[in-house]
Amino acid sequence: MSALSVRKGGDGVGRSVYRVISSIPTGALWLIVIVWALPTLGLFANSFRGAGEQRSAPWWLLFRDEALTLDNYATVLGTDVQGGLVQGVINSFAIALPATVIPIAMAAFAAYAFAWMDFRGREWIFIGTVSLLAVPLQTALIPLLQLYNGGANQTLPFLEKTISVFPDLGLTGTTTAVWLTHAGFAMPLAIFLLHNFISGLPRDIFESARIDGADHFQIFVRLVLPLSIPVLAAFAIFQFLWTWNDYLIALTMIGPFAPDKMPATVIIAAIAGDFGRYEHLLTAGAFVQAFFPIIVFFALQRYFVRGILAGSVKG
Amino acid sequence: MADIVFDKVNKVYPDGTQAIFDLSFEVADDEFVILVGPSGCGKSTALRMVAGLEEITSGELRIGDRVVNDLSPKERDIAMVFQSYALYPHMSVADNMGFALKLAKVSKEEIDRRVNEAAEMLGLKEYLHRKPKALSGGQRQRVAMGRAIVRSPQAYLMDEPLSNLDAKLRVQMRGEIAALQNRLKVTTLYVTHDQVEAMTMGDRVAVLKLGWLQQVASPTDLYERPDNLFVAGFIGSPAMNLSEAPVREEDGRILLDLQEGSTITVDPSTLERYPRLKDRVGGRVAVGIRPEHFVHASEVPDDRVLRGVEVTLVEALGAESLAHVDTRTTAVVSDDMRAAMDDEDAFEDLKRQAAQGGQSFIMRFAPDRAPRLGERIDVGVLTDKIHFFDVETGRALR
Repeated sequence: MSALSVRKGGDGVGRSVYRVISSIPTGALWLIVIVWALPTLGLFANSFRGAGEQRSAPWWLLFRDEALTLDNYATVLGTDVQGGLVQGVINSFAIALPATVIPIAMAAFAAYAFAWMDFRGREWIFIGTVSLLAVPLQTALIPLLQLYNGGANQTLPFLEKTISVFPDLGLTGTTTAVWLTHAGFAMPLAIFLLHNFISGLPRDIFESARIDGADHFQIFVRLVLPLSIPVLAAFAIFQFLWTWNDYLIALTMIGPFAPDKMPATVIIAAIAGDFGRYEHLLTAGAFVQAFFPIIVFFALQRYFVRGILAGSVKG
Repeated sequence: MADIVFDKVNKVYPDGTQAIFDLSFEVADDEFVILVGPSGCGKSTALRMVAGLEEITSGELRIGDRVVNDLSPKERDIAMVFQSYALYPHMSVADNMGFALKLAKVSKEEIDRRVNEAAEMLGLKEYLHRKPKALSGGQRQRVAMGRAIVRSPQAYLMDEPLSNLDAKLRVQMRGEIAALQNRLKVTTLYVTHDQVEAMTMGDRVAVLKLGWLQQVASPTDLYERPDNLFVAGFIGSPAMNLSEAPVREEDGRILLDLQEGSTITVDPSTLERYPRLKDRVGGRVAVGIRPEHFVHASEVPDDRVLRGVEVTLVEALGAESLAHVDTRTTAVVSDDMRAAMDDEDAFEDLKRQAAQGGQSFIMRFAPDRAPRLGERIDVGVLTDKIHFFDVETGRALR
């Protein structure tokens, strides 16, 4: 009897040890979450404090006896700083939306063709396209800028005649220049990602559709697009984030030519002012900037859930 | 409706392998023809050539007097049921079934009418608004059928439509498809590797081996008059027992030395079915005996008995019992047998048995007459029902 209860007690100890051990990964995850979230939280708290408070006391003292203020937000959204963040956000949309939608639309067509259409040299063209991933954007900035402003001209030898290989589009200082660059550089990755997904769709349903009388375009619109929503949404989120948060391309392409076309990132950077005089405003600016990507993420994240394909083939 | 005619059709893949050799046969108007063969025999390739999913290298393929070699699947006006069902996962059952009509710009009312009609026929009425993933395997299979029915095409093509179902459902759907085809009277070409499906469903069965057509006949003909060793070994479950034996003639009777000490006399009526057996006297032939053509030794004359064989396994199936019996007969080990068995392990087993100078026969008995495990028995052979083939070529000695 007593032996039995001892064994039982031993089991109890074993179980509680196991419980402690098995909670370690969850605990570690929570720790990481907190460590990563804390600076953001601090930034958020500081965005409601004046310049003096921000510099004199740490943000966690916010809750003690300080008055909260929306002054920082009012200032950055007002027009007296760098043309105003409102215009910057509008410019950011003018860049990020076409820079997201256009490459996805084109890459989806291309990915379908690479995956399911037979044509000569398909494999090599695909490899060539994807290998463009290796081209660093930074090296292309100046050549692209020259191309946008002045075009590409070539003087033919002997004939002494100059022809225009690429027309002068005069794009410098426009948001078009920025999203065009984003779109172009997004293409290899977009095609690669979408191709991987689309080529994994079951062959049978394409053959079935062909027998049902569908041509490539109908297959693409009625089958491939609806079935590819998860990957389209995933890529859209990434591409939107990258282009929304881009600073370098916007600064280069728009640069000093048209300050009123600058996206939010460039404006926020400029808000700090000389010698960081208005540094305290960066907190509010950062949260205005982060607001929209968060909305996009929550709007599209449900499409991340896979399983749309379940039930198509086999049991 | 229309007939489907293969006229010397060949299929060579770009890498040079040939899947189909000079395939010629026809599926008559309204007929249900089963294309059967072991894996890799080219049956699916043949079907896909009819569908237009696979190019035809040479020869002519006609559907209803129209040469379709270069027509797209769309222009051929056929419907296909896939092994995987290939339902469109994001569409409801109704949309799945109406997809082809929608593409053909049929009016919405007409689509609804035809989808409802087909759903009624298949018992899918309540499921029309569900997505495929909310259906069971059998229901998905029915939707795939419905998709074909709705179109009322020239012909149905079915590519192993039952192989993803569990055994019980398979038997049920087997009957349903056969009945449906019978009712709708649509030319149907049905591919399967399952010879039970082949035997039970079709009007006629075409047997393929490694791209060559072996025999086209009704299921009964195929079972009772196989043209060669391969068909004999492939059709029938359990398979026909095949062995090699010398043929002698004595006092006008044809004798087979089936195994040491067991010489059986061939019934004279068998000589009418296999007249060329006489030419083989003094040589060796391949003998085929169906499992049901073994009986108790007492039921046949003394000169038709296989003696002293040992029962190694008895499978009591209720209505019948299958006895696995070790004999000392000479196994037929040839490529025909390898193809017919369609199972490398089983073939290796046969080779091993042959090396030891024997092989296992399967015999079918009524449950009350079945021998017991481990018994050494004498069994009678109904020699008026046995089959003869050339050992080398595998051809029936007719």
